[in-house]
Amino acid sequence: MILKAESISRKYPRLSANSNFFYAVKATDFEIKEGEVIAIMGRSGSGKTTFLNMLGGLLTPSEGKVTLDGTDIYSLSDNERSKLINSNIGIVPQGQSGIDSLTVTENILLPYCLYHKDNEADKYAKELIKFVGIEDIADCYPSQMSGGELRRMAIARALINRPGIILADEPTGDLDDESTRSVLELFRRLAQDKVAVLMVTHDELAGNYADCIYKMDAGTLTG
Amino acid sequence: MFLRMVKGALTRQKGKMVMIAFTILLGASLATAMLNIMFDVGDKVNQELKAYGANIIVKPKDNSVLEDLYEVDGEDEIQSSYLQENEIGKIKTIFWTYSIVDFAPFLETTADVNGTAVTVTGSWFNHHLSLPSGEELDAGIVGLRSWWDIEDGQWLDEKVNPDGIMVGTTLAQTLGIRAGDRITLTTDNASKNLLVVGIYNSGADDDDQMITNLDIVQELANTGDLISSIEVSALTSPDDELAQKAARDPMSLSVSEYEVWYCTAYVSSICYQIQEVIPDAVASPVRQVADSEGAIMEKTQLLMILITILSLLGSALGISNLVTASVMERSNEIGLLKAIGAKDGAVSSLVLTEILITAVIGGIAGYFVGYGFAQIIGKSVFDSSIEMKPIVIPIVSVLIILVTLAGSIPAIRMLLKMKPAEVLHGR
Repeated sequence: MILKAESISRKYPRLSANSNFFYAVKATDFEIKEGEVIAIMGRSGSGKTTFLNMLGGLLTPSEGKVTLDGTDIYSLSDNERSKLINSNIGIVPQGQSGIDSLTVTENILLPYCLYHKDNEADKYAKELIKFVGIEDIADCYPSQMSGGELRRMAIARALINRPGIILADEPTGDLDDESTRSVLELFRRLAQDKVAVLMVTHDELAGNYADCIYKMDAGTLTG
Repeated sequence: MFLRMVKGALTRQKGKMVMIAFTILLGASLATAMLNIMFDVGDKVNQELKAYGANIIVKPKDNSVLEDLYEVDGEDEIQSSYLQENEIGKIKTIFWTYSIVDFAPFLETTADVNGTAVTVTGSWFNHHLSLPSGEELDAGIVGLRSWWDIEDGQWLDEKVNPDGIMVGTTLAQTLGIRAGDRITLTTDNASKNLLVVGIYNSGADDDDQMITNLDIVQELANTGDLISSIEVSALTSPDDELAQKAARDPMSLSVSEYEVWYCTAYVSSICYQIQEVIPDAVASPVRQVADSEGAIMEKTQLLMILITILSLLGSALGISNLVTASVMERSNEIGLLKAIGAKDGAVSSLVLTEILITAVIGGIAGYFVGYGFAQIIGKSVFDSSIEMKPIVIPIVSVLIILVTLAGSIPAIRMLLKMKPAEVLHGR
């Protein structure tokens, strides 16, 4: 599975002396293949999350296109794109994300349940819970969990539909060193299973676990 | 899982959901009260107006023709023919028999009382009738002239006072008569000594007359079992175009129009049906009364509809604000759902299900509160309870669902525009 960005940029209206726009991400080419772990690093506001969101089908680029195995994801209708993302891209959002009324297991199963009515993913959910190391809190609710546990739950949720690509936004943000290592090791193991992992992060430690590191500065991506 | 999420949202946002349910409760209660009153107000207003007299008058056909020809009516009427007293009961055999509230026959003559010529009217007071249908009823002017003020004595009871008479207040003063006196009425045909049972004040020309049992006047006038007219008080529906067309000529109606007209309690169709059972008679509406009834009912119903619309609009605005606030509060959750691939329809249906469940709870509570409102209004305005019409339940249900959906539109639009990338990033 190949996720490819062709000259994608994102601009926002903002009046200034020289222009009516500013570019959060300038025209960028990018590609990630199965089994790769890529880290994009940069300061806050450099455009990392905007770039990741464009790759993940969550933010339409101002110019350029994003293709998943040759399919331009932004040429699809909203519903088609939602289904495509659900099946092929696992997203680990920034921050502590979870549906408060659902248990850990239910939160992890949620992406599967959006398009399936069967229980076939239950066994895999249990495996994922074990894989990310939160089996003791499988029946807990997000409000009862720590930041690291929530991040692991988000990773398991991103994996439930067996996607080819994981896009993680600051996956180690506000985690202690032990949790950070644990999450990064998890990504490495996923790469061994042919999953492509793209993470945007501040964390220098992430570089040790990545096959390739990019830097984002003022909307420009450099290798 | 869907239901777990709905339940979770309902319990987590308990305060907001209670406010939404309360807003819907207010709208539903007012709509329930107003619609029930609107459907019942016809009967109530009709019953109120029935206290002010008859709305149909039945006369012999020949007399009616003469009156039309010479353009006279009322006091100047030309009495050349009569109706049979035994035909009166037929009025209660028409299709709209249950709309006939009361009726009474009338026969007038002139008699001499202590050298003064007075007009004496014969009628029924509380005449007991046993109809061929098996129905038993009391009919007469006690009900038909219920607004008369009895200044001295009491209403004449036919069984207790077969030789009783009631005298109008003006005539009683002229002749110096009081309740309990006995007076003698003399005509060329007979002479009757009668007990004055009561002195009435009608506020109209009737105060210059006397009124007694019909059979006494028939004897004084030597008419046998004849009467000159019948006054009928009927519950009627307001006239519309169909009724006006039928009033001009029932034969001009198509078969389907005729059936609708015949089976609706228009004053014209009731008159027509009376003429069917008493062929020698012409039944005509007392237009002022019939028109007033229609106008009052239409205006009252319009008022009820306006209050219902305004209350529902208020509810829609309240729902709109509360649901929008709820969606904004949950933007992270909604953004996350979208980010993991939930379609807009699925997210919208989640929010709508929560709101509709709240609406059902608020609507049911509102119906019962509305029932209470309706009874309070019924007691204070009409001095009687309001009958709860089953048709109101589906109408209020549909209105509440529509209002809830309409009130949710701004929130759903906001939800559809919500970009997961922005809400998850805290923008």
